[in-house]
Amino acid sequence: MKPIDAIPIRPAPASDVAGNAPALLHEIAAALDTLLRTGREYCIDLSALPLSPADRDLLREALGTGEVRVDLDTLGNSHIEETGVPGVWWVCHRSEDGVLLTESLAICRVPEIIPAHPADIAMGLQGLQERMASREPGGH
Amino acid sequence: MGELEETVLDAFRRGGLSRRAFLKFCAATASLLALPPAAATAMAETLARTPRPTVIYLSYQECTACLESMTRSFSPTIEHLIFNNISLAFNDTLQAAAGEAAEAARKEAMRQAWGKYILIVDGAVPMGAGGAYCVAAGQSAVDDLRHAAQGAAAIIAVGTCAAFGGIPYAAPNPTGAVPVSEVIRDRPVINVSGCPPIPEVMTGVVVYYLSFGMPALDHQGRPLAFYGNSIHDRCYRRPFYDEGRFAHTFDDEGARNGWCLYELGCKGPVTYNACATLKWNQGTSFPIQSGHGCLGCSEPDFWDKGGFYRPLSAATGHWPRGEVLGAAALGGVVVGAGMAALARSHQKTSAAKTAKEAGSPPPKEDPHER
Ligand code: SF4
Ligand code: SF4
Repeated sequence: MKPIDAIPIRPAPASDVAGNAPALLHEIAAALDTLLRTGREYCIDLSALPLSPADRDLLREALGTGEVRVDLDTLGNSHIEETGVPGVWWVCHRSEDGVLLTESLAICRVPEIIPAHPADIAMGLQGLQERMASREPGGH
Repeated sequence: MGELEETVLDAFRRGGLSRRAFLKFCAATASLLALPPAAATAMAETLARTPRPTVIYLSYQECTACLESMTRSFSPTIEHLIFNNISLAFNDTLQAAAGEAAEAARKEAMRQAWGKYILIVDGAVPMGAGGAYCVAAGQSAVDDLRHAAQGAAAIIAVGTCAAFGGIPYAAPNPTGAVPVSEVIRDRPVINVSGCPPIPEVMTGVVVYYLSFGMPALDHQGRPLAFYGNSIHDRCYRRPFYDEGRFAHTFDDEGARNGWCLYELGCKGPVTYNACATLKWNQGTSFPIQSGHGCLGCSEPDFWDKGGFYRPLSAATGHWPRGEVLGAAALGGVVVGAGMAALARSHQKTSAAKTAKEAGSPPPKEDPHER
């Protein structure tokens, strides 16, 4: 079978039209405003939206690139980066096979998945203390 | 802390996974279920305090492809996590124990979680000859199912055989097979149909149930989140259908150009499933993308609908398309219809099917014994 774009008939609306991105930008602006005023976080599931390549380009261009990039290595890779608009994070979760599980825009100070959770800190502390104890001469 | 009090989050931790892995799992599942993103947070909060579920997976008249589908998804995935690491208390194919040890393990798992476990059933249930066509450890499938259902918090019929009877139920249905919903009639059964179902759908339904309770179901008892759209509604070849461009053989210009497979018998327009969006093998492809029409495997009686290569009949309202057909395709249609009529004349509608359509109680005896 030929690749779909080698077929002389356009199988889908022309991909150079950015249909959904402008509306998304309004949604993002409103969510940022709410975040500033009330602290309420927001999330937009990009994998659930029909976005053309032009939509993506427009989004990337309008949001720009920020200062923070985080790579998470848990159940496969997750890439989280702050866009040039502080408070807007582009989040990509992939499986261990590299398959994109979900892609979203998180509007928050920092995505919930990044900070260490108290329960994890407690477990880490316990492990650290055990290792420290085993290193001490006499084991105490 | 008793085993039943362990939460889903605890089970993640015990498996060496962090809370971040748990949050990622919730985000991916919420997205899979097409839930609003805020639901991922709600799901994480609920699952963090929801007791780890006990899943009892029983198999009756089936080919084990449903389980294959679930376990053949590649290296550790979300599906593996929820079923293998987290919850599966009994499955006779996957567990190491056999014979009496297996039966004892299952009884113990059911006793411990009585009233709380999720019962997954794959396979149809034979009612013929007093249930003698499927017996394990001296108990017939039908008695076994009735008993297991009593202690279940939720019943999920996985695969078209359990959901609608599937292949065992196909004419002439020699064993008097019926779907789970005909044995368990006093409570809802969640039907996760497909031959086999998509692994992500099976996981998604279990996680949804744990987080939010009973999902919204369609008139066939299938979760709307996955079975709300037809294959045709989401098919990437749909623009060709709309333009009247069809493949007429598997090697003509249309087939090579990726045109619509309607004339080659595609059942996409009457089939509700998530193949066109979720796809198979980790999102690699699905039958239509590989050049073959949909068989309609997630619909009742898909095996008896007159032939996989026979175009849908006029009754579906698509027949005006005949105007754009070539003679070869029309010839194919006539032959196909003739074959189907011939096939039908050799079959008698089974009593089980008539009972199902009329909504009457399931036949007690083999419906084929007259
Ligand atoms: S290939 Fe099948 S599902 Fe796709 S557009 Fe054609 S008839 Fe519909
Ligand atoms: S494309 Fe059709 S036949 Fe194939 S798996 Fe999906 S629903 Fe079943």
